[in-house]
Amino acid sequence: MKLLTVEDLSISLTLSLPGGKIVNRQITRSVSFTLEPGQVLGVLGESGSGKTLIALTLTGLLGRGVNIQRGVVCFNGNKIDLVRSYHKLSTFRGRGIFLLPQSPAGALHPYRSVKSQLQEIGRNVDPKDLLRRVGVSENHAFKVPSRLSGGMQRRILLAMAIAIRPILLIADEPTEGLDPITKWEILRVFQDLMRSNNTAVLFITHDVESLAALEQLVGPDRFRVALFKQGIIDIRNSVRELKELMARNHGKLWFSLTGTEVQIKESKRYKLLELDSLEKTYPETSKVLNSISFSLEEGQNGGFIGRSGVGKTTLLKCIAGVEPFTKGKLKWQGKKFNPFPYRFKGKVQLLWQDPYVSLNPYMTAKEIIIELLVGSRKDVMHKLHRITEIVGLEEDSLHKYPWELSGGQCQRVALARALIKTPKLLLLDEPFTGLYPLDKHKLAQILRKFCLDEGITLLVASHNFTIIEALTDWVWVMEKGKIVEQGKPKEVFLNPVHPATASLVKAAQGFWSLFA
Amino acid sequence: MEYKLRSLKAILSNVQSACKQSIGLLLIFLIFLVLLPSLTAIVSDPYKIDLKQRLLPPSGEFLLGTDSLGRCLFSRTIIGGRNTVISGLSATILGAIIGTVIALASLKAPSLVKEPLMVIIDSCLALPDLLLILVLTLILGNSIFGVVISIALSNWPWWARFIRNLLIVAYAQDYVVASRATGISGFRLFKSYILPQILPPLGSAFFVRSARSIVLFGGIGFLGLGVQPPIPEWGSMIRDAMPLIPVAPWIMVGPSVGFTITVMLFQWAAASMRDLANYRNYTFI
Repeated sequence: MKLLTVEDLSISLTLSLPGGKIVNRQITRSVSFTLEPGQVLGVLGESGSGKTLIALTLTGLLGRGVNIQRGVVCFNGNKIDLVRSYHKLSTFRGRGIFLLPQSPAGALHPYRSVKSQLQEIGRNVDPKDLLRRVGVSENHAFKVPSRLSGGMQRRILLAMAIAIRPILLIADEPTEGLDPITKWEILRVFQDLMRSNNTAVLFITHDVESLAALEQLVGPDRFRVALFKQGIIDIRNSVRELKELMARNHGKLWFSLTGTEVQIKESKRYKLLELDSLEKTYPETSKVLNSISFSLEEGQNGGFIGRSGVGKTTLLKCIAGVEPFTKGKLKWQGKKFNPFPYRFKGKVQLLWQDPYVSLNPYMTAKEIIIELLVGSRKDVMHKLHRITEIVGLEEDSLHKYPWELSGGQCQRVALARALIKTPKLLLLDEPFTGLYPLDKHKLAQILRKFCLDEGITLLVASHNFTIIEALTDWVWVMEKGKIVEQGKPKEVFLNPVHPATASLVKAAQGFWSLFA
Repeated sequence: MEYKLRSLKAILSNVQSACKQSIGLLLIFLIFLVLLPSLTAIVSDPYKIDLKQRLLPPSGEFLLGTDSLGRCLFSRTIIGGRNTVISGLSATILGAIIGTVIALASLKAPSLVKEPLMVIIDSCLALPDLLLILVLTLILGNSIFGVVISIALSNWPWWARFIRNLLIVAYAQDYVVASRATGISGFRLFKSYILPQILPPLGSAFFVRSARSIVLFGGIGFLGLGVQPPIPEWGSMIRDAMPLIPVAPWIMVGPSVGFTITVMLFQWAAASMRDLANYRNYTFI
């Protein structure tokens, strides 16, 4: 018996451009697919291709300006004509269809502890047991979600899914922004859920590695994958078939980032940023950062790598002056400087891990990007066009509000805003997470070249070896708030010394080996 | 069942769109109240006593009848309404201004000032409104001005708390923090980041609190404090009408209907403020 059947789903988006022009854009064209209990359908597609819209349609959460033109959904024996009785879909939410949203921070209650949010699901729910099943330490049960890392927030949402035991789980970019070890753990939770409850999973992603891993975990007979391109869906039986299709389309191995070689300009260098035994403690926890010391020369791009939750984001926030540090010294261009609160005034820009929450929902993308610029209209427009070309933003997404943009487009807008005033230092926190692998590759190369030309130094925090390798010249490995190893990216990856580095490399190689 | 739900939803959406225009309605109502007294053709002298024409029922000459002293009730309702509504509004505005200043002080001042200030606000909030107003009215004297000041003085702690909380939440938003890190500060930050967040709740609160102040003003008049005769005012008019209900029930109509309509319009206006900046209009039903 089929659990979910989607037939002939066509969605268009109404956009109002300045000057009162109203444009209709077709997002999906007659999308049809089916899903059986205990089966996975991986949906792969470029950013902005409408993957998230399908997830929102199936849960009845579409916003204003989205029109369903045609489409019939049959869920668990209930046939629903989307044009006429779209709202009926919302009755399945929860125990029927569970949505794991793209931005986990936005989906959890900001002021209530993890434990109380888990207890809310039902009386016979044991939060400790749930947390253990998703691999989160019990110590975190009494914290509010904002004190936890992105990976942990996502696992807490998954814990909710385990407690609710939905028939269908829609996961929107569940492995985005996670280190390889955590990725494996999350995929195992999916496997556990499917085994114990026969839950069907709609796995929306742009990360082909985790799809391949999931295929291996659940077995090829329960796995299918769909490629989403220009609103048309193309269903294949295995990742290998998909890979062949992609290779035909793009002409090369599209998920590889290696081979990025940029010539480094030799010039007179001085120390841009120096940190001397920096420490940071939150009132209720132990040290988040523990005697971090390093120095960064101008033009030398640095990177931090480590599992999620080791303090990479906190470190970048302390450098950017968003959060104060407790102890230690920071030197900027050789002089002692305390960046908190917000004292860099644009000389240092930070690209946030979740670009969506860092953009003002009351302004359009264009307003957000040019907000900091002063000067004649012609100059501003010239700069805007140059920057949007570099980050790869289309003209019509400039007139949208952040909540109308896809995750990848938000990332590009945030990047454009960070670049437009040519900062001295650009801090990137898990960059390119919302992007399609091929775009990642392109953008990393373009960004590196642009920063070299403009004299912008990069400091990247990521768990992704390929991104670190593409963007940086020197890497520090972080573990539990400390720097445990450093060196040139390639050397660190090939000969890891510290056990933390070794386990990261091993997990990443586990993913790579799936394509060998 | 489904049909019923859909029709209910249609009605609700109609009411909603009516709410959106109600801000205009409210303005018209206010202008009406202010302008009408100058149209002498409609409003006759509200103070003119004519004992020969006591307790007359509504007629062509006296649209709402006359009271126990033979005064035209229609013109008294209109002039009294102007007094009541404008007093309530100005008490709210005054309270909000004092509250805003105190809220800003409690956020920006050194901690030596900050901590006692919060204690003062909290202890003022603990006092019962009506009691405070009565005492203040006794001190400030029985005039419109006195009552307005005393309502404002009982209002400000609430406004201070409210605005303080709004500002703290608004500045703590992730996108505000992110934009401050990019170098946006000062007036621009306030204009395009803080104001859009605080304006809808501020507007709603203003209208709800105004309705409350208007009723409070009437309540003071009803208790016989505050505005003294012969100045017309809805609260005291209702008090005067109370013993005469068996004889001349129409005396009650003007001020009572006036209160109902005013409060209703203000509540609608509050609801329309909520819709005003609701960008993320997801369908949750």
